[in-house]
Amino acid sequence: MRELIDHTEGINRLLARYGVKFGLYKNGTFHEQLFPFDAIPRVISHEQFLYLEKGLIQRVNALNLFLEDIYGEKKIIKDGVVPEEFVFSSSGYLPECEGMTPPKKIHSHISGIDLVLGKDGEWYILEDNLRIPSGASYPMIAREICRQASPETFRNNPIVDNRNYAKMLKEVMAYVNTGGVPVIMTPGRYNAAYFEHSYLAERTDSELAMCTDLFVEDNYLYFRDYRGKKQQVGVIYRRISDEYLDPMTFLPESLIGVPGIMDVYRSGHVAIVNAPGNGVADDKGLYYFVPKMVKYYLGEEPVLKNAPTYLPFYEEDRKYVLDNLEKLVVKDVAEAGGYGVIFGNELSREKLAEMKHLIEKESRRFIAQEVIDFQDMNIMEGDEPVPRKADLRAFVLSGEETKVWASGLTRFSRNPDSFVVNSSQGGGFKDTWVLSR
Amino acid sequence: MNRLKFVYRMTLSFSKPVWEHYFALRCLPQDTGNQKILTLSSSVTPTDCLDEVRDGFGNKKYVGHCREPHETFGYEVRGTAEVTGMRQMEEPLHPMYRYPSDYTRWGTELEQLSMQLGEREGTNLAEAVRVMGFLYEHFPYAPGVTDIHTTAEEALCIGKGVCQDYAHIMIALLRHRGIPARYVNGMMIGEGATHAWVEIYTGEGWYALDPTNNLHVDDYYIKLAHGRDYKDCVLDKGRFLGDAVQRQEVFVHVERIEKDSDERGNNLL
Repeated sequence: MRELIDHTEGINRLLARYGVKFGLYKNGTFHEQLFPFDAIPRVISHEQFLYLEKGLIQRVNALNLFLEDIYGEKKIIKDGVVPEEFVFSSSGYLPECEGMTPPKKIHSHISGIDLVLGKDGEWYILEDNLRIPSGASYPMIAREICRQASPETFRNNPIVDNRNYAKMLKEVMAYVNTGGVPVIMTPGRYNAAYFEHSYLAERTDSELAMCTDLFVEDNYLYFRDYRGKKQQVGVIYRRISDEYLDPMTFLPESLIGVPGIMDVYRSGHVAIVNAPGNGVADDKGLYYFVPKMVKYYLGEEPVLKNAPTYLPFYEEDRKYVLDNLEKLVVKDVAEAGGYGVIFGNELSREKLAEMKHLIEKESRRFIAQEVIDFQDMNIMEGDEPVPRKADLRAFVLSGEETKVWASGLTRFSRNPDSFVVNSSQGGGFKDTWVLSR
Repeated sequence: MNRLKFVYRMTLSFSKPVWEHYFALRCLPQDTGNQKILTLSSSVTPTDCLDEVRDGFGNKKYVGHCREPHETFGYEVRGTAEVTGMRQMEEPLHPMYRYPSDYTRWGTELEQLSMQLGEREGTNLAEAVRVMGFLYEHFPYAPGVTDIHTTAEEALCIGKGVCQDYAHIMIALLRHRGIPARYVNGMMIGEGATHAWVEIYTGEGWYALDPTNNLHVDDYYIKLAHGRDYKDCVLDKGRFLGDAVQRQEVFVHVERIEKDSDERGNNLL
């Protein structure tokens, strides 16, 4: 491991050369910034991984069943487990997906589940990302470079090879394919994850397509390759969000997207990875109900815990939140990527009062959580190891079976006082090693 | 019960040729609890391909495109329908019609109007009729001051508007009072443009009210599409390439078929 740390600078230089960057929109302009790599890996023991794997598979299976139910029979609502306002007033709920089942009934093919390890030794789920979770390729490519920098590290330690991510993705895409070529669609290079799109296309033998390379004809989706040859598309891994997917259904002024693709999808003529409408299940307001979904759909006790969460929507919870706001973290359910996260202990007296008022007035808009004291991880700052907060994004792939990728993206905050580790908030990342024994 | 004959024509003229023109048209009436479509014929020109699909709200939709440059685009739908009005349509309630949508989001103007209306009274239907009457009294009709992007709250700020605005304001008020409501696009007897009104959920079924005219929807209306608000059931939506100014002409003609002018010579009595 020492060798890896010594190679940190060189590895980061290589990552920059490979174009491992993270794009950001700040104040209306596009910045591309490096996503700094720290060589000290997160190490997950074999036993711990088996435990995580069990809990993650269970959670993602329940979430997929929830999505199938919500856009179909809505049994969980009729049975009073989830209040309907959390579902149908969520911005992630798309009536355009009503009454339809995606190929093989899979809605979330790639789920990015964010966890933290508490000081109490427990893993807690922070959030589920079921729309277009990005980040899998960062540890993939970092591992490749680490392997080059220090092959002996990987020979001498029992580390599970993580080079199978693309193979897993390819299998999922093949499983849901309705008959045609696989395509990875990108909005183009001015996107936070463009690097990843091109990398995955290459590794999954998919065509990398811009929206303008795709078109609908007679209710089927086609790809036009560089020679102008037209091929039917059977599965599309899209890397643009729902509202930009189809200007004929969603935002008419949108210049990206493929006109008519939603009708093709509704007709069952193409699989969209991940399915549109998933936002209703990873809504911060719905998060509270995921353990209940596990019990409801699978009849099992949830293996993995949520961070202790309160819904001001319920009177009892609201009272607790208002009384304890200074020690809680409040999240605006409509915001994503570390935006709209407010720590009660950082608020002035006036701001605290303002926040309380807002919570009372718009109780459906917020959730509140106990601040989890999660374990620090060392990162190298110069030659010094220093402790920083870090989380883990685990990638769960759902095809014929649901599988957890034996790796993941460990993100850390570079600011010693910050708990927010999202890459859009300027953090760095580490490799995640899962031990094979 | 009425037999109605209808023609609905939309023509777009472009100042310069446009191409790669994609469209989605919700111009096809279908059977509901209150209307039975007896005959229906339609044409869309120009078009390379045309498919009939159904959207998430249950509306019929024509989708297709025309790639070659063209300076006009249009469609025509004609047919006959047997319509019954002022009756509940049995159809289960989808919960989405209980909650605010983009065009019916709550605001201070709506809050004020709602205060003036006072506490809700009686059944869903009785209350909806009361809200409709109140809105009709307080919101004058005026074309040209609002447009297709105007929300309920904005229309109230402006203080007057057209059928779309009446429908949105009424829907916002009703949902706020716990009455599920949805937006309806359609045609009305006579000659003119398309019309918009409201359907409310009574507890057992859907019932249609026309706030622009302060009327219960009777057998002189033909429904085309519905959704949470205007945005969900836009009658014609298109996207094309080309730097052209477009002009739209809409022609709607609905007339009652008298016994002696019944096209098929059936005895209507």
